[in-house]
Amino acid sequence: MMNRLTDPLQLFGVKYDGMVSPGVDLAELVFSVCRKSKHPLRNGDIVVLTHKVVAKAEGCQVPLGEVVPSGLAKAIAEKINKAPELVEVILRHSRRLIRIQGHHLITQSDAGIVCANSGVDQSNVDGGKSVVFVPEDPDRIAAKYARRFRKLGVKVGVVITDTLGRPFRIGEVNFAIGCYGLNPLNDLRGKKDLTGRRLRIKRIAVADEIAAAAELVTASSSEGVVAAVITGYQFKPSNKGASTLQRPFPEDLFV
Amino acid sequence: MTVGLFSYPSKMEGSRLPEEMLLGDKKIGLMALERALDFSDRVISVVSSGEQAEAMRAIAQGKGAAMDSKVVDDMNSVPAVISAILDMCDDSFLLAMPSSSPYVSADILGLMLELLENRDGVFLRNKGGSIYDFLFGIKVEPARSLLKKHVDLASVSDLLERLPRTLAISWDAASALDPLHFSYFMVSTDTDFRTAQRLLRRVMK
Repeated sequence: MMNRLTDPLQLFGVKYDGMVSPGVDLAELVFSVCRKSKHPLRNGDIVVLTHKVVAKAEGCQVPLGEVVPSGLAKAIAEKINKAPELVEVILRHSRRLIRIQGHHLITQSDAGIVCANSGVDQSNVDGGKSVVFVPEDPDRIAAKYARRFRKLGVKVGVVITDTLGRPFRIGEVNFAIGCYGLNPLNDLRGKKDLTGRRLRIKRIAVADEIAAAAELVTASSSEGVVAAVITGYQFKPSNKGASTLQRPFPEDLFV
Repeated sequence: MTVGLFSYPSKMEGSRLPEEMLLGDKKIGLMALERALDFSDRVISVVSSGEQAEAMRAIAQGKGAAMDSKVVDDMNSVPAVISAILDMCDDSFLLAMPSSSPYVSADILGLMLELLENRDGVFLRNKGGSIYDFLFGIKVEPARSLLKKHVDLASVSDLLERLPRTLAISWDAASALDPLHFSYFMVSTDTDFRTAQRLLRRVMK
């Protein structure tokens, strides 16, 4: 065997100068920006969309002025020093309230994701007057966009991401909350390592790693990067969604 | 809205019923019933024995309230227990609480009812994570349909997972709203009773 480099993996940000509004065809938008650039989308690419952009396109936005907070929302808002209207939107999109501590409200969203505020977000919306929330079924949305790309002529994997905090480390990292077209979890259990030892634990969260890599180009959302395109990654096609990455509650050591 | 009281098999010495134990000058069962009557004129109960049914009926009569009870032999069978109480319920909402909860907070129950307007269920979990023996509110029709489909429910948590629009409030989160955990306290053992007496002294202060 010859010592050599692996094949390259490329990552591009898809920059869009306009504001994404409800009803915008994100697949068409990403496809046309890529087509006009030097890197048109190709079969086997992965398109990574931020949840903020997806939420705006899917109309998952609510003006806080139209929200009437419940008693629970008011009580929690006082505890964590947030606007009751914001807390109400968070509650409406939560299945579980897990922890209220300091300024933090840790929840499980309707989509099953354990995170702060169920992913309800004020940044980069309209200066704080409105918030966006995560669509109830991001895997279904990812599948919808994958089908749309297919109609446009390319077979790509689609990952929808959100930036989440981590309990044991400082800083936020992008995770996959929706996925279609690629296997989100590469299960290596039962395979052998370089020394012949059989792997018992190893499962690589491919969709999360793709999401984290994509944030290197989408992080500066104020610069209008609405998506990332990853090209050159050999993935296993699959219809499994990012929901397969959620650890069931009975197996969770911390919640 | 109906309030359903769950009476669990007694684990107290001498098979004494927690509902009949006096805290101060009041029976625990009466304290729970009074809280239930704050929220609804219709209070029903599921009990584990005829003796317990009789005790609850007597407590209700002393208060001038009528109470339908149903005896369920196996209180560990979640579908049987929930089905029994849903069968008796002819309202849209059911708020369920243990009949041996002396200090359940009216504020917490009020918040649960408000939340139920937009949901199929609201569940408050206890410290160990179980929600079977504590407070929950459900919309009756979705829960009935679910029980018909899933006769293999192992816990109320299953109900929580399978009802489409629910909110579970963890012990930790609810503690922020009810720091003394009064809403999460039920008497089931002699140790619980002694703790309840200590809590009563704290409340009196």
